[in-house]
Amino acid sequence: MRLQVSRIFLMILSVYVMAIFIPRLYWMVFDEGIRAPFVQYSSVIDQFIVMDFNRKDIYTYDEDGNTYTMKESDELLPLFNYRRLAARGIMPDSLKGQPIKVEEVRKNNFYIRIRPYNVQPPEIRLYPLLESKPERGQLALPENYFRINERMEFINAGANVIQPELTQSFTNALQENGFAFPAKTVAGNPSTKKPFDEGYFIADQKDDLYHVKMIEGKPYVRNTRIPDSIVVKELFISERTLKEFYGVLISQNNHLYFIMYDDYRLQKIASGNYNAHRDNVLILGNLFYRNISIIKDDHINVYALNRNYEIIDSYQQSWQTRYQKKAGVVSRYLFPFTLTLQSDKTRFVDLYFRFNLQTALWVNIVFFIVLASWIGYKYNVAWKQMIPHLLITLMTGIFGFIAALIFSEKS
Amino acid sequence: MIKALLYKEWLKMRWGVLSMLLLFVINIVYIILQLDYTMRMYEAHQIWYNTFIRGMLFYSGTLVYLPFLSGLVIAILQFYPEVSDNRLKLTLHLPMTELGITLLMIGFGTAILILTYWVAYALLTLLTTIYFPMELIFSMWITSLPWFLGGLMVYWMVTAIFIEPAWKFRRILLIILAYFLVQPLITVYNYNAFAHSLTKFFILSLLTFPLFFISLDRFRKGVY
Repeated sequence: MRLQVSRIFLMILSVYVMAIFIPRLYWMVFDEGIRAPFVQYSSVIDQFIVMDFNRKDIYTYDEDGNTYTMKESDELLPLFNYRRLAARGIMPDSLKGQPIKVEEVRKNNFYIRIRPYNVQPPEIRLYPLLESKPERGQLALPENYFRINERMEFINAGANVIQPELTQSFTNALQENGFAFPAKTVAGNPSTKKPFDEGYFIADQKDDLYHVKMIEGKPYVRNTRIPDSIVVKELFISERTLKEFYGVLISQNNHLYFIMYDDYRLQKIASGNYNAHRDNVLILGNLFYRNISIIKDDHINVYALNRNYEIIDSYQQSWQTRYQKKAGVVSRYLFPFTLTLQSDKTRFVDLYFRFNLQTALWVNIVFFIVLASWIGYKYNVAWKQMIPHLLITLMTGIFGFIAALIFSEKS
Repeated sequence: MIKALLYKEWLKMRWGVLSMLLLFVINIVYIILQLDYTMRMYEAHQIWYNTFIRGMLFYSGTLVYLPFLSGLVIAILQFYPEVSDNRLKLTLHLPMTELGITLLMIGFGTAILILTYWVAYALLTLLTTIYFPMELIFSMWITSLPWFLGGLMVYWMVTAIFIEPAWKFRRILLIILAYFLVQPLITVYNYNAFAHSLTKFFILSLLTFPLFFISLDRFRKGVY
């Protein structure tokens, strides 16, 4: 009994190792890179321009099917490529009947990319709160880091002790504004490489969102009064000279919002069936449009919004994932499941299974029969001892089969 | 009888255990001295920034492999003398069940190993609390536990490998299996990477503990 259990453990461990490393080798040999196209709305021809990186020569076309060279496509996206065009001396001085100033173009351009592993990543919940109005005009990293449990505590880095004054004043300020301790989500942009500082956006236990920053050493706390229906999943704050929005809010039900400077109004932005834990989002902004791409494993949805955030056009394109290509189809028959410890969707190590039980069932049965006949043929292999091996082979196919072959017992 | 057996085990491994302990202490003191040095040379808050925001792991480095090394060393010291010249046969002829004796040996080795790890952990934690708050200590525990789990796994796998009588094929397979089992655990990821999966990997390493039953059974039957 004891022996039998240990043998099963040995089988499980072998299957575990093989389910990780055999598919990894398989994909190292057969994988071909699949890159999502880069799609942007052109302010010159008022339709989407698609750049397909899967072609050998980077291949650009519009919705009507006209193709362009890279050089030509630069001119179709003059706001995105203003530096290139200016260097070539062909930056248009007006677009859509509006005179264009390079300064304005630069200020209005932005690029926000949110990858699934940026959403709720591993974190150490201590945050530096920068002084928003530094005496010498230059942002600097502070000596104090804060945590928000029963109060907002500031800890001095050099001494590793709590700073009573800051702790008291910020805790009081939060309490006066009705903050329900402890904090659920704390998000800021703890960097000095930004034009100014907007501090942190902090969701409390009642799912209210607070804006907290430090101005001349004093707390600045505002309840943003977001609607009760919106519960924060993740926030991405980044200060921009444009001062239109503080950052992006992803709600629990996977909607995307900008937190606007206009009294913290939440501006919903088109997001299709976005899933924050699976999909990439790319938000491009320029003088005329907001260009939102939701990139999934097998398709991309792109929305062009005007500056009032109304959808003016949308685009969809799908492609084959690696599991739909030849090598992928074979893998679905060959491997009843595969296991990875890391994922491109998260920074956490875990056992990430991918099951193909239905497609692999017949192949499993073949392995089962081969193993059973091998046991029958090799009369010196103990029948009874091999029952678990046979069952595991039936369940885990190729992995169990190999494990059974190498760890078989002679009677 | 049990006391004598344990004393014999201790005689075999004591220098190894002390050296591993010393290596741990030297390594941890070095880590902390280096931390103290960088905090003096730069500014403490800059080091906090690098640690919390940029994800610098000041405690990774040699410390990743020391638990592995201690597991390996203790297993070798305990079982190499037994399997060379087939002394294990004599040991197993003592008036006690074979399983009981082996379990005692491995249990004692495991206990000593865990004790070594515990001392290392306590020292590291104690010294780190001078410089960092609890948040970092928790994160350090979560981040470094897999390395110690890997050490236990190596110990258990290596005992099974030593008791295993068939050198040519079976031992090599077990060594390969051990490599692939342990390798992902003693890899450095970002901090808190195992926050959601420590229990799963703990159970997985427990599965390696009884592998010596199989080797012992084969040893008894005399499979070559």
